[in-house]
Amino acid sequence: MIKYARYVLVVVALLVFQASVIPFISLVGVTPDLLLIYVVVLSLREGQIPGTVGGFLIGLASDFVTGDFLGLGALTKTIAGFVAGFFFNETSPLQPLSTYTFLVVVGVAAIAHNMIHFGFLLQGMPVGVSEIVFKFIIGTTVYTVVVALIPYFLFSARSKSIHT
Amino acid sequence: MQRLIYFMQVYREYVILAALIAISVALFPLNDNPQIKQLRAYTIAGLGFLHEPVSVVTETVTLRAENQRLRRSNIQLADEVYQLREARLENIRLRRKLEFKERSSYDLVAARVVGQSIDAVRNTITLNVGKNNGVREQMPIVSESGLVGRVVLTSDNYSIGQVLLNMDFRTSAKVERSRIDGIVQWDGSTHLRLSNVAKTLDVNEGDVIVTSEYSNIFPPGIFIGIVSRVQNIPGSITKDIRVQPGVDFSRLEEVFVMLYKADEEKITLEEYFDRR
Repeated sequence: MIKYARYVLVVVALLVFQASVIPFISLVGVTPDLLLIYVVVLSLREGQIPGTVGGFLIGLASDFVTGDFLGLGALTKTIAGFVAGFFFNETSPLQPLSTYTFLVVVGVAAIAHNMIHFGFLLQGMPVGVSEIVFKFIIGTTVYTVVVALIPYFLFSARSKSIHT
Repeated sequence: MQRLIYFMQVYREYVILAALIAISVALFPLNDNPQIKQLRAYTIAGLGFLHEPVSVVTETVTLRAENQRLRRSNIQLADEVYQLREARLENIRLRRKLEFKERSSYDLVAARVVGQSIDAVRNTITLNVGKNNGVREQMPIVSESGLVGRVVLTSDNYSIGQVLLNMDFRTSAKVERSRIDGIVQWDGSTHLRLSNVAKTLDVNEGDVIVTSEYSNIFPPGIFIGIVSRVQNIPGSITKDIRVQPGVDFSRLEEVFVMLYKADEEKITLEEYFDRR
């Protein structure tokens, strides 16, 4: 029960952080997606089903509080959680979080997430295909992976301290 | 039946995925549902409450840069005030001569931006004013630099504003000099596009774009931006017009909600005509 309450508190904190601090570090309108990183962490720690369900709930919460298109965040983060869940290591759930695998999984999940997210939202917009691919999909993915270095170093340091 | 249960057990990850995707897609048509809107208003109010202390910290960090910018802006504004005073006196004289009616000014509610949702496509802002301050959906949001957007959702003390840099944002606009009408929408970058303007019409770089009388949301004459590029694309009957918005959306901290509601009779009449 305490574990779930902790997850909820982290999600609420990330929602506030995403809305109030992240806009200050946007680059040409591209921002990292902290909630997506957390969905990946959830999937790698708890498994594919909790990651998928967690992704849905986090996406839905994000849709509700940001005024975004209702259901789209839930859809994309469900898929991101499901994709990340393929990398779940049942015998050692913390192991992928402290290796480069974590960054790779964030990248793969972010690509899947952003392709659906921007593919859906940019329909009918006067935006070129190259801009959609390079700026919106790849740009957002790269920025999210770069920010994912922070939890990666934290998990690595924690893993080393456990082993020593 | 047993085979179905067995199938669902074996492929439970995929069954759950399919169910959640179905629920997500089923939510798409509920975006305009009044009950859902009310529920979203409550969640926005809750999160807005949490945004406030965080936004105080972020504002403190940016205070020095903001202070310098404001000082510079103050000098420019002082100069502009002098010029505007002159222009206003001239305007009054001309209006009296032409017996024009003085345009009524609208009440403004000052608001602080306590949250931003920037996902590169659907940019919105959270304001610390709501229904208790007289703010209602579809009211214009402006700043000293021009049009910011419109209110799309309100709770008692908070509102969500849809800014110009949002794929859903469109408004009727006109070129102030030549009175050419068009539709302003975001082009996905830091610029706007003025569309539906035929190649033969008179639009030049540097022209000022303002809201037009045709808008059912904004009063006419609100500054939107400056034409930064005009191109004639081969094979197209319209011009490709890029507009630099007057507002710098990366530094949006204080805005005003204009307590303006469009003429209901006009909207009702137009809707009735469209239905016929």
